[in-house]
Amino acid sequence: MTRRIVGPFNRVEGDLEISLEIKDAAVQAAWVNSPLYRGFEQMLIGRDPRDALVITPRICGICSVAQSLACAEALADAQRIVPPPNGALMRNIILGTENVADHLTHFYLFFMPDFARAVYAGEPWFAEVAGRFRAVEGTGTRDMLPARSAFMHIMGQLAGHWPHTLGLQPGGTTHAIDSAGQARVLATLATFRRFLEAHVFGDRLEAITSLASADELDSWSARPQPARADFAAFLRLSRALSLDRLGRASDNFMSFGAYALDGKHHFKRGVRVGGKDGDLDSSRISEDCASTWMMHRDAALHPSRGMTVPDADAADAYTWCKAPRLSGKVMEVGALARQVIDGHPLIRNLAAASGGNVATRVIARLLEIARLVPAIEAWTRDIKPGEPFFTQAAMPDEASGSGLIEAARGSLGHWVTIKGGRLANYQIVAPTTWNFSPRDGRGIAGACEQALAGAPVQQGETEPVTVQHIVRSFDPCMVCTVH
Amino acid sequence: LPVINISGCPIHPDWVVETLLQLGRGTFSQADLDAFNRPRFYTNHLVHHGCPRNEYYEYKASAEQLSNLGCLMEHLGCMATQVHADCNIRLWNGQGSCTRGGYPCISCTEPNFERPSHPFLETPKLAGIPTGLPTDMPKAWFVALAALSKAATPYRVKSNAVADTIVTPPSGAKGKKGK
Repeated sequence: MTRRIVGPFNRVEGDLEISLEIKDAAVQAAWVNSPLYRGFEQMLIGRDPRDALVITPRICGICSVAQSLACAEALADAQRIVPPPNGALMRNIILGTENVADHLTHFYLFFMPDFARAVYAGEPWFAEVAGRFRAVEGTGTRDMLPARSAFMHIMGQLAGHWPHTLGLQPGGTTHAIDSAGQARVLATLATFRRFLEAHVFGDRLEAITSLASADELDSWSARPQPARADFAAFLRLSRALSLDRLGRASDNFMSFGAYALDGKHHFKRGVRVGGKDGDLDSSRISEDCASTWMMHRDAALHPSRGMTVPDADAADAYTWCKAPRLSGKVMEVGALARQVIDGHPLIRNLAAASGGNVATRVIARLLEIARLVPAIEAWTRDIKPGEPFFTQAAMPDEASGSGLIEAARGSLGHWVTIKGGRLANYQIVAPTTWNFSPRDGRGIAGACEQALAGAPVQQGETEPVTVQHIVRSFDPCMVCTVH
Repeated sequence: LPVINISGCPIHPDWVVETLLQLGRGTFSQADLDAFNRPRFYTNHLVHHGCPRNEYYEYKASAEQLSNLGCLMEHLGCMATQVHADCNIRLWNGQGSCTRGGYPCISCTEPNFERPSHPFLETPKLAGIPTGLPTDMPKAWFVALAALSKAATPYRVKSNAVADTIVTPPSGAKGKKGK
């Protein structure tokens, strides 16, 4: 038995360290440590509630809009207001743009470069994949970065800038666009769609979203055009390395529901536990601090009553991350969970065969890109110029509220309590808090910890490559995790 | 050279890249830094410069709520006339800035911006007059000019300031209509 610490991880937002117990060429157990504490929740206490719109997005430079929106929704809930339809459409466009950019960044810059490592030099697919995805030098980066940059002009146009917009407010959005503005967004989207269809998929986005099973995916990806594009290159190496047998966690999935419009979500809200679909009961969320460097470790509290009081000397703790649970259960969140819960047939079929794993997590992200871009096009066309984008409303002196949304990496919740016109409590549970949760009071490991158990380790590896794949398959955002 | 402070939250990617490129070329010196050791190429400007709301500012035609087109200084906490950065000249993500996005400049390139004495989205006032006035203008002059320009505000500017889209376009162009 050897014990090894892997980290810090590069190409990850924030700080991450993982302790592994290795025996018989496999990981026996893993402990995920978020070594950086920042204290955003405490910074907010005592401030004007609207200041949270300035401060919470700054938790993160890559999920900034998601934090904005969760904050805006929590305050809107406290104010008992809903944005006008144009404001809701604009929120969806802006959040969708961030989420698509995050998925794309993950694939090209964070995840795929690991397959250009020397450990794979003998594989038949190596030359092609390394030439395309090697960090900095790969041709993929050169194609992707300019396309992403041009796509993000949507943020400049609609949200002022990215990250850290103040354009998403409880009452809607702050920049009204006219018909010419709609045309400009659609032109940006058309250019971006061309990049996706040429380089990422080798086919129309609608051809991807209509795939309904693993068999259809296999035969589609063998066709000449798709076969030359990057998604199919991943599918080939995924088959060669059996990535669908790597990194399985609890297979309990949760989604807060993404892209709200007219009281419904474009991607459904719900849970899937033990293979059964169910409704989300957010009152059953709690955060356990049994393994966390925090005070108040005896009770698992609902975030509306949650406390964050750091204690660097807490006994038996090993991370700053709390352990969120739904009805006491470990939940996996992210694009895979969203698409499973939304019931997309391809993802349902893949998950039925092999559950949540490195392959299905990556496929779900790419599928989500293909589903989101047409949705953003439709939301843009649905805006009605001349009608309001924003509703003004007073902030109550005494109120509470919650904002439950989906960030690229999964379910994000903000819970706010206002007393005497000031923030009395503010609690945030981020997607990677769920996925990279430590053990809870009953000793149950978090999703990534479970996913790492059983990972094969080759002779002499100090940074097992399988561990890299599994960790990155969740697309961790560590700065959001602890905040 | 001292440590160079590229301030801003966020910082514009060009501020970093253009500083590095100048350092790489050996053309960057102490003289290119301001009192906070920020690169002058972006702090020699005010966020106010190039703001499309400048006409509203001139007439003190103010937005009453976020999403209005008017000047954000009088009511909504905008600090752009006092903040050093070229945000409205350089533009963000191709075409944006805070004030173009419909929300105030919160002074994120200046020291201690995170601890204002007032809520970010509210202008602190004394007897109805914003306390944070342009730094290099005598206060009495500012107040006198503001009163004068407010009295002279054209209907077009006054009505558009409190709307979300242009409700009163500029009146007919000079010159002859073709037949």
